[in-house]
Amino acid sequence: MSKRDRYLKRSKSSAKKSTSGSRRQSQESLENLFHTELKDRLQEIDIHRAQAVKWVLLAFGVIALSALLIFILVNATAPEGLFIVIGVIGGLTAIVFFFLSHSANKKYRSLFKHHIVKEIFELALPGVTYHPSRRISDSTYHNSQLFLKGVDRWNGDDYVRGEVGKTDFEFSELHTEYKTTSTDSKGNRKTHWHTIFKGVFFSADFKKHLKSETFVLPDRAESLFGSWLGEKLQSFGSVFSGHGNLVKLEDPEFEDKFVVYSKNQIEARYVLTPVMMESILDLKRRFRSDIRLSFLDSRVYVAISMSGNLFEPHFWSSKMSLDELRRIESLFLAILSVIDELDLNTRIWTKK
Amino acid sequence: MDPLTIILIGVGVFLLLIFIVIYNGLVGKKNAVENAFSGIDVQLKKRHDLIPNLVSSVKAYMKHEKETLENLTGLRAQAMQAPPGSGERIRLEDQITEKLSGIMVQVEDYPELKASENVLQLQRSLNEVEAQLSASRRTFNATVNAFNNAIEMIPSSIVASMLGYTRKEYFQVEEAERKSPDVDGMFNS
Repeated sequence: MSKRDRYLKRSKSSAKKSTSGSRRQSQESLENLFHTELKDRLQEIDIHRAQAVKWVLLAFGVIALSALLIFILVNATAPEGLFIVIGVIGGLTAIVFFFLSHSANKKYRSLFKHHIVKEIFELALPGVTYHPSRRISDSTYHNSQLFLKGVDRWNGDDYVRGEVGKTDFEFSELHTEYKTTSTDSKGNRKTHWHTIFKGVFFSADFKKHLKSETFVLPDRAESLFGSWLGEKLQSFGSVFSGHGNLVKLEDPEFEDKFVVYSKNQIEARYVLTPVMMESILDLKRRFRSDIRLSFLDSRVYVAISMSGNLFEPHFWSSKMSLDELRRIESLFLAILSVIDELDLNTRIWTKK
Repeated sequence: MDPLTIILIGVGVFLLLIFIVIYNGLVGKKNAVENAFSGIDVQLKKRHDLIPNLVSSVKAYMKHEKETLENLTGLRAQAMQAPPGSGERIRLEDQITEKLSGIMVQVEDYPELKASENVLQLQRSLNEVEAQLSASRRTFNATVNAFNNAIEMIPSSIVASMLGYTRKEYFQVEEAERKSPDVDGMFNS
């Protein structure tokens, strides 16, 4: 490790300490905010959730009742037309109730995001912009060049944009899919949807000027086939991947978990300093999932795979507790920690 | 033609093809090492270009460091004369690294310099060159590693010995840069 790297590591660890300090502080203020404002607001919002639950229960009740009636009438040998009438009425009523429940739940979710999640985000990072129903743009996703497969269906929400120090960033939940169609022996066409990416897609200003493109992707070949054969396969695969040539780096743990492609060998190492490799490994440990990064156009793109819907309220259980809100806050802070971890605010190079 | 001849010709052509592939691979790796070395040289030249600017910006204030600054200018002139890749050149560049980082630490003691936009810009440029230099060195070492592996691993080692290729040396980071600061020593002295 060179003197500079040691210096950066030191300044970064002190930055991390300061973040954890502010995290504690923000946890305390979240508790304050919860008791002074959010608790009452949650109570108001919860009316819509209770309504939605009521409609769902009613819908199930109607279905059960219709089934019971039909069962009794079958045994009493009633005319056949009666079954159909009961079935149709029961079915339609249930559909209406489901619909009512859905719209009440939609209202609940929207209020929850606008009045609770938004407050939590603004508390954790003042000045942040939050759009619950928007997502990262198609062009940002394509610019990253992380996923080269064509997208047939886009889904995403919880778009956040803001600045930490000199670094502007944006992220959102994102789910991209492509479709295939197959025809079975009877000639029926069937559409299958396949996930390309699901998780949090993050983009931020990078601290150094970049002329070329560097990609850090999860390593499958080396963990499957060992380092020598794996490397040969990666090198061969790089011809087709469109991500540039294989870059061999010095950190064995990093090499084991990630594979790096770049169109410029020197720039790849300019970006991936020993400290940066360690930081990317830290991020992988923190999220315990696949992480992909690309560095190009002086921006960094990070795709963190995650399952499930994030920043959502519960449906069945009543009011969200302080712990639930804390979980939302800590996920938000974990995503923001990418900025600290990659040390994006250190601007000691020619880019200001 | 009898089958044996056909087989022999086939084997001969196959071996020749393998030889060509290995030969070209080795030459490619050797050239990659030379190319990577020129990457280092480009950054060293950039650093040489920055030194006169730096010296002229700080010398009016840094009266006590006059000797150091003159030393640095002298080292730069010598380094520009020395042939690239020679032991002497590497030694001179190492000394320049040391002097430069020394001056940058000294700058912290001069409020006028710390406030100067020009000096700040130079500081950024120097950091940039040092970061690029470190990346170039690592690239060079990676190409040397690939080359050394190729000339020692079978079957390319056979072709390499025919060509008379020998192991190449890695670019060593100077001793002072690698050594961790001796904290105990500082307190005991």
